[in-house]
Amino acid sequence: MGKGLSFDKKAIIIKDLHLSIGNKEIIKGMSIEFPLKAITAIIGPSGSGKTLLLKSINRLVDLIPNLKSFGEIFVILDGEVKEVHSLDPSYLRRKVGYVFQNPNPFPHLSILENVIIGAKLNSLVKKKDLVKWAKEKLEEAGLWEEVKDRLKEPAWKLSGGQQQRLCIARMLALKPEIILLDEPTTGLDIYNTKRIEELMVQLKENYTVIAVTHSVDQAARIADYIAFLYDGRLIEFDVTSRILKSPSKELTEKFITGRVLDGVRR
Amino acid sequence: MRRVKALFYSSLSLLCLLLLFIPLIWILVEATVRGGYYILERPLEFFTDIGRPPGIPGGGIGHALQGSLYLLAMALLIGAPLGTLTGIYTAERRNSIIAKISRFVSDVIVEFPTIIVGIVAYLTLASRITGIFNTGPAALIASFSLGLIMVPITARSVEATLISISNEIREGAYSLGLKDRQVLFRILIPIAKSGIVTALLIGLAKIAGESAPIIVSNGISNFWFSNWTEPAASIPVLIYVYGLSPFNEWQTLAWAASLILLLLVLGLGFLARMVTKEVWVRV
Ligand SMILES: Nc1ncnc2c1ncn2[C@@H]1O[C@H](COP(=O)(O)OP(=O)(O)OP(=O)(O)O)[C@@H](O)[C@H]1O
Ligand SMILES: [Mg+2]
Repeated sequence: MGKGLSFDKKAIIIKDLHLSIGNKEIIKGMSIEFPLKAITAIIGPSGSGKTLLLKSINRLVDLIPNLKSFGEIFVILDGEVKEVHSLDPSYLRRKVGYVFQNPNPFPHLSILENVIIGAKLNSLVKKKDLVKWAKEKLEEAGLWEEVKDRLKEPAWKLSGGQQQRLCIARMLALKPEIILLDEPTTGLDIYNTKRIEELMVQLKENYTVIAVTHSVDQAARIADYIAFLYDGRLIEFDVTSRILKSPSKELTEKFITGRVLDGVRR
Repeated sequence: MRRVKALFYSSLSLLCLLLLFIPLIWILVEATVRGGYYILERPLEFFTDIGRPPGIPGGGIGHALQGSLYLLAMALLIGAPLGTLTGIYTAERRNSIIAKISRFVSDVIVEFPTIIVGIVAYLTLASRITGIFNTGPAALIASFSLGLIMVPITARSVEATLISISNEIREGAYSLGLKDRQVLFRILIPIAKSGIVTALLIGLAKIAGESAPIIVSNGISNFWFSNWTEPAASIPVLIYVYGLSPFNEWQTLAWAASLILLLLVLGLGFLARMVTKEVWVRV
């Protein structure tokens, strides 16, 4: 599988992805290669298909009714090249972590239970090691100091920024190799935004990180590479400095200078 | 000036509220005056004795309380799993044909005269001529009818509770690699727990006051519960029979029983509210 593809320093290779919901075509033929252990930011106007691209990689799009998609998505997991549609979705989603735009901790579970539930139900960690595991992951997500005395409290008592870091810890507890984040700092204050940005930079040491962001400034701060999407197509992909300083497409330049902010025009 | 206006509008809305409550309060007062006093006069006899033959003063509704307890418990045993599972199915397989059909059928049946459910259950199951079991009027058939009657309303409220859980929670669960079954039993149902309890209480409140389906499937009994294949007494039927009788003592018992039934249904409604409130605070 994936013959003829070069995976040198790559973690994900998407080949000609199409996706439509009902009879509306949303992703209109997209090919991208995401570099290994680096941060790639996905930018583009609202409605350009950023979220659906991300959800295609871990097949969360399978949950959307009336959705059709074709094309291939290869990922390297456990050292092997795999096409996502040939994998057990449960395995795929564990290996490809996902953080949502709005923090979504489980409201019926405590802070501690939120972190361990995935690892527990997937039997990834021995029962007696779960608490230690949770501590490690909360530390990795930079939340341990703030919650160590209130692990039994329901997760909804945390602030939005803390909830988002809790969701990151919950995802890290699954031992992923690739991490997808969909505008993870939306609605957070400057302090929490900064914490999560620092966290993303730390994460790329061990993980391949792909982050959708609505802010070109944020992409400039954290990303090694930038993919610019427009109306369901990849317009440009390059290292961050190139995209920001000398984009090769006029549309990219318009977007990063703030002249195409108002969504997709049809 | 603003305060005068505010005062005017708040008294107006208070008045409307009172108007709304008048029928309820009126029934409560009426039932208390005409029957409630009897409960205070002879509480022990009222709750533990059965009715007396016409013309003999005294007696109680113990048999009807006991019968209702049996009928409702069995109805819950039949209706609760059916209603809950239907609700879960229509919520989680929202777009399937079966979900659409079941939703449609639920909405139609909710408006159905409940007596028809009783008649159909009697004719197909209990009737000595056409019934499968040919038991004749039987408590079990009444419970079965009541169980069916609570299914649509329970199912729809369970469905509404599950649908109200945001899609991001659902997706969050799947994003952790959980399987359908785990998402349902470890995440969605625990979150919806109080909503499901509320749905069952609403279903129970709906059937607690039904008399017609009981009369047509179980008949009338003035004695203690004996057997699931025999008729059982129940409060709504007792109210119906005693209330329409020409005997003073029976009418008093009917009023007193109405008061009990009213308080029971109000209590169920109140309980349902309390449980729901807890959900709102949490999610
Ligand atoms: N579940 C869905 N059902 C129907 N249409 C959808 C669904 N999800 C997304 N779409 C449509 O697909 C298009 C792309 O959506 P997507 O969420 O990927 O955009 P986006 O680039 O992430 O936008 P934003 O910056 O606003 O998050 C939009 O036009 C949207 O309306
Ligand atoms: Mg989006």
